[in-house]
Amino acid sequence: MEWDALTLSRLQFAFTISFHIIFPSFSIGLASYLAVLEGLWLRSGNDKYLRLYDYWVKIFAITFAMGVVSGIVMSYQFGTNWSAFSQATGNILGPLLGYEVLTAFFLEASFLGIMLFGRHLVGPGLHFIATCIVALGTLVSAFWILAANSWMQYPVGYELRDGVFYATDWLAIIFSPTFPYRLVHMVIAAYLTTAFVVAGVAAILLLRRRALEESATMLKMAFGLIAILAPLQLVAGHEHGLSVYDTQPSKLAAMEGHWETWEGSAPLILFAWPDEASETNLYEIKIPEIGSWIVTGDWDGAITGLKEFAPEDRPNVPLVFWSFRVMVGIGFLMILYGLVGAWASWTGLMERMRTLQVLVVPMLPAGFIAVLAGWITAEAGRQPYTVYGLLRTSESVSPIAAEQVAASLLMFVAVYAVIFPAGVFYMGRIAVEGPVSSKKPARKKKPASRKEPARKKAPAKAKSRKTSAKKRTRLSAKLASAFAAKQQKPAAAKSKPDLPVLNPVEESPAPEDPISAVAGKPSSQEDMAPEDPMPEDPMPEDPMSEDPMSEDPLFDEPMPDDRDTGPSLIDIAEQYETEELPDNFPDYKREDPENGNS
Amino acid sequence: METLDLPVIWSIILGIAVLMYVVLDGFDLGIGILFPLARTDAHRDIMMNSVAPVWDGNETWLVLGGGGLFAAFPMAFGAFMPAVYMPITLMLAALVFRGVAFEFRFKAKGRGRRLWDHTFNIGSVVAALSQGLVLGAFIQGTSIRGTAFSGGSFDWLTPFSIMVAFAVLVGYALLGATWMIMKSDGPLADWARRWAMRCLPAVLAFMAAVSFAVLLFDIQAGQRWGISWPTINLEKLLPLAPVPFAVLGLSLWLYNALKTKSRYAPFFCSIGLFVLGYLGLAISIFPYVVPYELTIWKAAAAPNSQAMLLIGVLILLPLILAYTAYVYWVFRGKADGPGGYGHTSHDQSPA
Repeated sequence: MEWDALTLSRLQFAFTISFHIIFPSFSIGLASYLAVLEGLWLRSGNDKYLRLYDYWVKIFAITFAMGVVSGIVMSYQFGTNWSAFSQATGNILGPLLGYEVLTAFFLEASFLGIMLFGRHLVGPGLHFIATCIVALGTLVSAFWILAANSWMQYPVGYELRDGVFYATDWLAIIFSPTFPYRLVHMVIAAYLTTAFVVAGVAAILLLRRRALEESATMLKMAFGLIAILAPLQLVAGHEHGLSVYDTQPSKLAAMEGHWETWEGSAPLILFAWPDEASETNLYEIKIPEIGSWIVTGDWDGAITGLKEFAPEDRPNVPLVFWSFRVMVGIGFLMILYGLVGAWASWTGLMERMRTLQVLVVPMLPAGFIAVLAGWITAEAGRQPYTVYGLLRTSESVSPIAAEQVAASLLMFVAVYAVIFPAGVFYMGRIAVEGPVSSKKPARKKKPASRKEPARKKAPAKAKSRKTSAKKRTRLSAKLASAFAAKQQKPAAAKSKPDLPVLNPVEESPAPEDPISAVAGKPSSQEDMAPEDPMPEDPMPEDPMSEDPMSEDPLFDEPMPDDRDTGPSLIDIAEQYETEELPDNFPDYKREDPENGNS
Repeated sequence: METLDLPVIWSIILGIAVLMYVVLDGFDLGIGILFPLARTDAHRDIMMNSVAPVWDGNETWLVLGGGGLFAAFPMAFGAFMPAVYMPITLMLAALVFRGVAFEFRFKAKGRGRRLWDHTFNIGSVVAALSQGLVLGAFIQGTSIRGTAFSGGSFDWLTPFSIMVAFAVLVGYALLGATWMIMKSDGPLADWARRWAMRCLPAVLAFMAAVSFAVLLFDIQAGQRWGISWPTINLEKLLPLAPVPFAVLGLSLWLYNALKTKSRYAPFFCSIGLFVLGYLGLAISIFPYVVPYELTIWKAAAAPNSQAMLLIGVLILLPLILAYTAYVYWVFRGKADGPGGYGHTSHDQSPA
């Protein structure tokens, strides 16, 4: 392999797109899940759903930000590394991507701010609309990008003059023949990916004996969805496969591992090592006869072999062959998990049997792996073309020096090697903390008035100083009762000490809080009732002895109170009223004498 | 269709998109540039909170600028992007760091938070400088053969582009400082005012320096203003003379607004300065989309492609502007104090 600008640009594109696709495939599903959770909360008034929303929205914020920034990288790479491609296809792909920006990106990015920070500024109804808009935006984005990709896989509605594509039929271009299959396949994949993350996280929480009620709900919702979507994905994927048979014979031959052309009754090759040098499969395991039926829907269906294509017109056969099998294998595993998991979680068995919980955890990243494998099949299978059959990848690259592509590739690897572990770390830390929140905005009330100087400014702080000692006394009383509850349940108490699940500080009812009072729910459900999910919790002062993450340098001085990133004025006022004052609490005058004078 | 000059319409749309980006992401990059100069962590929290709900939308204008160029002028997109390969790549990496720093910083504690503070700052500075380098390279022109880039890897790196880079850096800092004046009170607003006061003369000096450099060394842009050293064509210059005078007038207004501690005027004056500088640039460059090689007509996409997306823009852009305004309205008011609309971000300070 020659390390020229082409190879390096391909590597860079493969690396950055693989990194990018991880985040949308999670955020598409998670945005819809959040919309469902918030809708359920508004409908039922069950605060369990709000706690779940507040929990997942923090993870959503991180995954969305990582998706946005890695997506900007993609859009500019078309110009920097694939300028010849951009000039040839700009007439067709430019408007499609332009519509993606106009109909999806702005929608998502603008309403995300309200979704993350605006609940107390716009009220619950509008906030729910904002969540729905963000969810819709993620789906619209998928629509346009898959329309563009489908056109590259199977171009229609164009005219090619002097190496430049011109549009002749926009509807044909947008709704190209393979587009519906890709869109359905990808959206289901995104939902499955998210469902397995939700299920895996719930299983981890249960294993840590934490947030039992919410975890059980997460498991039911996740596996309920998987039980429906995983079998559906098999159908959608199969239909998509049939469309590949119709439109991309060289890709199909590589996926199926057929070197020779079959006029019917082709075998189904399960496993093999396709050897490109000898143009045969090594170590082949196959089922005779049924291949034609599975691939073409007809026992006598013909399958074109790879040998019909010149070697320079073939994709990388082992890569396409194996990534396809990884995807399909995970797909079947998902069906199995969906059926068993739905049964076990809806009967409550999953909550009781730790073995089942342990089995769910390894499937947490399954969706990501399947999505990556599926995209590798699709994109590597399209090679050696960017626009299938018409524009070669080697003719698409920019006239740039290999050195600068090498430098940029190394830079992206370095950048992503820093932010990926950091993102996973922060998401993981939020995830294992579990849904804890007593911050309850009014469900039926008008938004809190913006102009509440007493809550916003100094008076609240002054008050908080005065009352904090009293609150701390109340806190000790609570801890004592929690400890008593622990004594009453010796069986449960043998579990390992753990992170405190409920923050006792946050639970104190705040009768002075007008919003809770109006809502008529003075946060009673957070009180340490005997059936509290974590009666065996150790004292919150307990060092995080069992938490592996406490070793991490980024995880210093864990403090129960900073778990909630809820934005409301009331939250903060409440927090300041109850928590032990942080050292840097608004004493900046002390730290900054200069500001006092200015 | 014959009566519509689509490339002209598209150059106006793209011009608006890029201007929106420069102004909107300009102030939040400016916040990042000024970040380490803030007096306390509490101030940094407020600064970050003031832009946290909107940075994402601001950055989307950059995607529209790039995507719009791809759609409306694919030849220019393909010709210019390889010419500025390195600054664009640097900018992307910097924006990645800076964007995730928003989220990570609020989740981190102690040393971790310190780390993301630095990341946010360095990311903002590098992004601003890279954008300046791209702008500088754009103004000074690109080597093109046919419609493909034909220059070297470091064509973009000249004393002129470096000067433009620092001009952009200081300009963004001014926008950030005046934004903070609008979004805070007390010591933080006073601090922001002091920094705005420091940035203002620097911005003016850079605007003058860049303008003279363009006029003196760049014959093509200078001719537009009637200046072809050493002769000055007053007939061409006089109709355009209001632009530099408006810059001076606006600067005085801004200075006065800072002195009188006006809350909103400084930010909008700073935006005005950017608009005028941008206008001056547009006058110098038009009708080139890749100076001084490709005109907007030569680089334009097929008319049916430009028209296809134009329909969407005409319907959707007003809508986007409306809901962007709505989001800013929701998050109006001061962002300071722990009661601001940002994350709850006070926790223990590192020992």
